[in-house]
Amino acid sequence: MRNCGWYLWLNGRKVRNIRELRDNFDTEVLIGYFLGGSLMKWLSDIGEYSIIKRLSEIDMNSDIGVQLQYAFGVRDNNYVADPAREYRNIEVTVSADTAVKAGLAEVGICTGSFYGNIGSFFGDICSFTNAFMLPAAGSVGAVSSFYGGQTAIGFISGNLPGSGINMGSYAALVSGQALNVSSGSSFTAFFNSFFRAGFSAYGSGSLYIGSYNISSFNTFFGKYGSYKGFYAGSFGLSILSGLTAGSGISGSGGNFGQIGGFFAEDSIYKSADGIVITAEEYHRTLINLSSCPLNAYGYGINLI
Amino acid sequence: MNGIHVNSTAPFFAQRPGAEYSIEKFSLYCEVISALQWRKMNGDIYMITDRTAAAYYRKCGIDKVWNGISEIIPENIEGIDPLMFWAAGKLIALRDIPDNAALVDEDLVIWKTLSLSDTAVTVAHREYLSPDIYPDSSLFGVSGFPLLERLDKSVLPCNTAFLYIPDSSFRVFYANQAIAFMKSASANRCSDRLCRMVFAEQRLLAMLCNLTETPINTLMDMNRLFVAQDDYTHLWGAKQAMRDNEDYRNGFIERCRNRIRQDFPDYEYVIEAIDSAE
Repeated sequence: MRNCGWYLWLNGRKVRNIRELRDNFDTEVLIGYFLGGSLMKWLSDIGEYSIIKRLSEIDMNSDIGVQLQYAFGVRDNNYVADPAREYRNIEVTVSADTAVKAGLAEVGICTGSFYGNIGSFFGDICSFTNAFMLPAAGSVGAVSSFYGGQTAIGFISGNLPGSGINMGSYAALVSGQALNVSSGSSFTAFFNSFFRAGFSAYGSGSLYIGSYNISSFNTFFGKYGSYKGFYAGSFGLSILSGLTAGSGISGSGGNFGQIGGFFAEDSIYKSADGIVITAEEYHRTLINLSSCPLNAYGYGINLI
Repeated sequence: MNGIHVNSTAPFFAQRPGAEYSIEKFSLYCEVISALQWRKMNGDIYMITDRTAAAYYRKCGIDKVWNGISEIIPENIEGIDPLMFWAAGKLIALRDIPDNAALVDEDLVIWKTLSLSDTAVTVAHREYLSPDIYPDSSLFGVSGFPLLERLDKSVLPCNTAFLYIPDSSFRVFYANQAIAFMKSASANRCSDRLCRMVFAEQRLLAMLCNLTETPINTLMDMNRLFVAQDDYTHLWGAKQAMRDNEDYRNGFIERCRNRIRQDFPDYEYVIEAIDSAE
């Protein structure tokens, strides 16, 4: 077993060989390495060309995480497959050197040891020929146990490598586990809850208003109804409608100092929308806004 | 300490299909000064780019400003949407450079010699978690990047106008996860030209450092960026101001010319090269 000169970061550990990878299998991170392109290179650097060949056959129309687990012969109980995940049209880069070493440039089958002595997952499976088409005796039982009782023969026959995995694993997950919260319905929930919280938070004058993209200041405030806006004055930012404050402030402030100066300690500010904040919150807002020119104008330009 | 500039032409051609590639003069001048100043104070600097930009620099006659030009960025940036992810080339470069180097944006000039940590990631500065710039990442609807749900959303993003990652394996880890996010997000193209890009490049870096307990150092304090200092120039949003204001732009260009004549007389030829470039 060869060690790689550089490591993968899996489950908080630095992994340098195939055994460490299986012992610290982290499906979510490996998806990133796979889509990012470096998983193939790492496997090439340690000579695991048979796994590279299997990864090259991954069906991008299906959950990659499940297929990665299968390709490495590992079950990751922390990973929840999501049928909503799509990887269509994603290009996975394989360097020419890796492709040649892994035999990807050739038409053929991958023989020999696939999972080795994994034991706990695939039992005594020692070899596959062309991934699932002709499984060795004994492997059928082990495969079916992974996929929640669905018979391996039913799983394998008539299915393309990859699509069968998804059918099996999806069924197992649906029967026994909650779907991942990133499914379509929960995304809607996230969206609604964020904006509902956002409306109330911003309505009471949270810190995060406008910020760098000051051109959206009006839009942001008008949309969420927290402040109607105020003059940014000397920074030359987009001029917004004037504020009408409880303390009688309206129109332009000239510069931040003047605007700040309008508010005595403990004074209350009321926007045209009727939103009320304290002077302290308003001053904090201005401090945040004072960082806006950095995005609008840069810094240190005078040094040239 | 070696540095790299990174330039991908993919965003240019996505906005201007069929056009001939070119770089605005004020950007070229800043790029040149950034490279020459780095060579003066810190070490060698290389341009990591694609074939088209490399040919452009050579045609302009300014290719010798860098210690070398490497054409490892693919023209199609591996299928990533160049409009949504206009800095994708930087992540590809970080993944593929053979040796560690500091990534310096072309509009950033570092006027001093840096002393960087051997263990911590060094970035330009932190940024505030302004929801206009860094909205809740679940809103992106990127279904093919499940790692997102494990990451701490409270960590402050890192401005990566400057980025040095001493651990090459972590550099590859970060670049891979960012590329994976961009590829997944590119499957659902949209009109966002900011939030997803800064998430992939800047917020994700901070999150992954947090995940792996990798410390982060900054060149500057984000609360003092507007205080006068002598060490860093970053055009940042001033680029747009220069596009909009001819006097501002021309004044800046003239100051660049004077700076090159004064500090880099051996490279005075680039003035004519840039001024005559199309």
